[in-house]
Amino acid sequence: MPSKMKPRLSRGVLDMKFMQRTKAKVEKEDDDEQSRALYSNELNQKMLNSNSNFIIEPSYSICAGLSDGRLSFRGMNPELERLLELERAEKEGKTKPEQPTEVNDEQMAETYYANQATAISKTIQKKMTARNDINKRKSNQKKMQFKKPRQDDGGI
Amino acid sequence: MSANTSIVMPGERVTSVEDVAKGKRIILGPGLRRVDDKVVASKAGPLRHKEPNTFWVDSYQRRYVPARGDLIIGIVKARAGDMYRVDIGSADTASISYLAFEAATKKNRPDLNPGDLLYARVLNANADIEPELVCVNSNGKHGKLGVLQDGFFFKCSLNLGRLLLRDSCPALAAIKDELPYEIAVGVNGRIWVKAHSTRETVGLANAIMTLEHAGYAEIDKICGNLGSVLQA
Amino acid sequence: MFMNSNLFEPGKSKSERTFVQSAVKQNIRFDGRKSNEFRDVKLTFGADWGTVALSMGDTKVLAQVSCDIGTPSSARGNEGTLHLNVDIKGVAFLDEVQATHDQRQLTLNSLLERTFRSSRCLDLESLCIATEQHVWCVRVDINVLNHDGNLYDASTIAALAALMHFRRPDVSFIEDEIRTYSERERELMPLLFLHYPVSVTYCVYKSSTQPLVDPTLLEENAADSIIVLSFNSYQELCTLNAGGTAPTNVRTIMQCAHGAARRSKALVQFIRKALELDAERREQPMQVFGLMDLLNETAPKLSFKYLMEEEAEVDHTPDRARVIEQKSDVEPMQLEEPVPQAQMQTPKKILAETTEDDIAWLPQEQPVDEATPTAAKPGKAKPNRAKNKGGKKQQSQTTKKQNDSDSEEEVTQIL
Repeated sequence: MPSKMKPRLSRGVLDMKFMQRTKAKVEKEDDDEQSRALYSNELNQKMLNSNSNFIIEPSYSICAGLSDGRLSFRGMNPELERLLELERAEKEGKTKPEQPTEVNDEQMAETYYANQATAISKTIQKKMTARNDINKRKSNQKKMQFKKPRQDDGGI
Repeated sequence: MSANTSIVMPGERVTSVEDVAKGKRIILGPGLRRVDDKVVASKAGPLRHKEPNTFWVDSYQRRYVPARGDLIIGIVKARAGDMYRVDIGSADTASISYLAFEAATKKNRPDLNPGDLLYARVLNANADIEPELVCVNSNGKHGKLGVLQDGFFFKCSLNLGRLLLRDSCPALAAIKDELPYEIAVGVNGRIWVKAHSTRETVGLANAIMTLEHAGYAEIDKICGNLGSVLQA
Repeated sequence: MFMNSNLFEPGKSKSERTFVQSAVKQNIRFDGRKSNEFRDVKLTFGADWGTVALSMGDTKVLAQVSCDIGTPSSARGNEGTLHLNVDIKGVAFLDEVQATHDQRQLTLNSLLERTFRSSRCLDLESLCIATEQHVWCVRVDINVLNHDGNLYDASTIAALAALMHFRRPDVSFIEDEIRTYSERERELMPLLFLHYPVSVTYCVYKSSTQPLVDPTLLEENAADSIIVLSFNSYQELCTLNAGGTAPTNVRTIMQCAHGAARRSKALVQFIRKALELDAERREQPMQVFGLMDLLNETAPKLSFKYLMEEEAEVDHTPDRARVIEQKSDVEPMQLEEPVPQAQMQTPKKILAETTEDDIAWLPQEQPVDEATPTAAKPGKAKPNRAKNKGGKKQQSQTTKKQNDSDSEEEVTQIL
């Protein structure tokens, strides 16, 4: 027996706290060996080595691709119908060949460029805000009855 | 699905499947077995094929054999410790843990009583241990699973359940045109239906039961007449 | 065919039961029947005498009568014996508990015993060959082939039809030697009847006041109580079996009893007609069907609806009489009716009575019939029996009243 040749860890060592993983591994190996010994007269070399072309699937629903059997129609169970709707949408989304891009390449390039040129955009922004302020002031001036805004004037 | 289906008998060698298997990996469904390199049928019925590589036998059967992943309807039989015993029409009763429901904790147990109906998924199916059910999906949400309230419930052959659940089945859509309803079809040959009135529910149940012996071919014709069945 | 078409019993889940209850409330039945409507009864006679296959919707029953010569019991040395045997093993449901299965068989068997044996429907004395030595032992075997509710009615009708169809060989007993004559030597002899009982089953629901007649299995399983009444063709009550939890008042039982009495009469008429047709067919040698034909359903069926529709067309008078009967019976008679009895009390009573008196097959005639002209009509009722009945009835009813006073009180309280 090959297991006899192999050096084995003693029980005491395996019971140590840090050896728990090794212990599980060793136990599994032993188990495998035992079961192999149990069926040794039924198993043959062919069964062990040949990788078959067959996959066994005992469920009809998976084989036939049956849909889920819980359905509701025409508002009988709104909660369930929402769920079904979501599922259908998801399925359709999955079956489509490629997600349509919301932003095309050109737009992407533009925004990218815009991000790169933050400095420029900032100056533009400043100008814009300045213009806004002037407008604001103008509107303030029009309102004759409003006398308070001295601070604003001082700010500029 | 190919148009010309062949009928296989138990013990018969299915060479057509073997031929395909030489070229690629194939999936053998229920009713087919592999004996070394041969494929042998273990049930009687038409041999079905789904592209690209799935084969199974669509035998007429009433006794449910649990398979992992199936969606089934079960009747709660009893509570046993931290489990419920559920009758799903298989040889052994299935079990479902108290914790296999949405938002269930040790303290907050679901309130189920004998006679209640459950729409559940088979989590574990093995010939040697009792099947285990679950009423939540992988996200811990109940989704479509759970207790079925009110409505009417009846048992049919496994084939009828499967027939209704095919993607191309016209039956449910045909009934939809007649009346609003809710349905749960278990692949274990159990159907639960609910419509607005008792009379409608009775009609609905009878309409579905008329499909019991329909084949794939006849079903279109019957569905055309469903309206008249529902009127009765 | 020797197996239930349904492997699983309906009516095991809460939603089925509550749904049936609510449907009953709205007067809806799954097969579209009205609450007082029966399924069609179809009879098929086999090649052998006394072989009958009966179907009532999806409920199917096969009855076979046989006989041999045996020794009588010591208590009744001058009477033949009637043995009834029910077999429902073929229709066990997969999800059925053993206890309920046994219970079902027992209830059915006891119902048949009470309907046929305790009511003494066969003239057993005519089956005696030599007193305390040789008698005919008649045996009825009932095989349930498919169970879709109302096994009670199906098996009593089948048993009665089989008994009426049956012929026994003639025998002679000369110098301590029995000689049985074959069919060629002497004609076979039919059994002699004193009366012809059949049962009618009703389901009572808490949700509805209207009992359902001839229930399917789903309706039976959802029912709160089941009432089985056996009546003979003279509309005399032979058995009453009322179990379950629904509060049944006298009125409901009365209502059932009247329906059942009428139904029983029609059923016996139907069986007679079917027998006549069968006899006609037997004249033609090629027209006899074997057991395989019965089971393959290739043999012609004699349908209740078909045969009795003809009947209705031929003479309308009995129908009209029935209507009158219905109207007149509702109120004044209730006092005289037997009170609802607990399930197992009846048979003991009858047995006790039978030992006292020969004609004591529970002579509780419908009081209605005495009042209406229809009761006088069936001329076959022997006048002297009717006389005896009067005295006997009062006697038996008083005893019963005493016995059942408890149960009666209970009922009224609930109501």
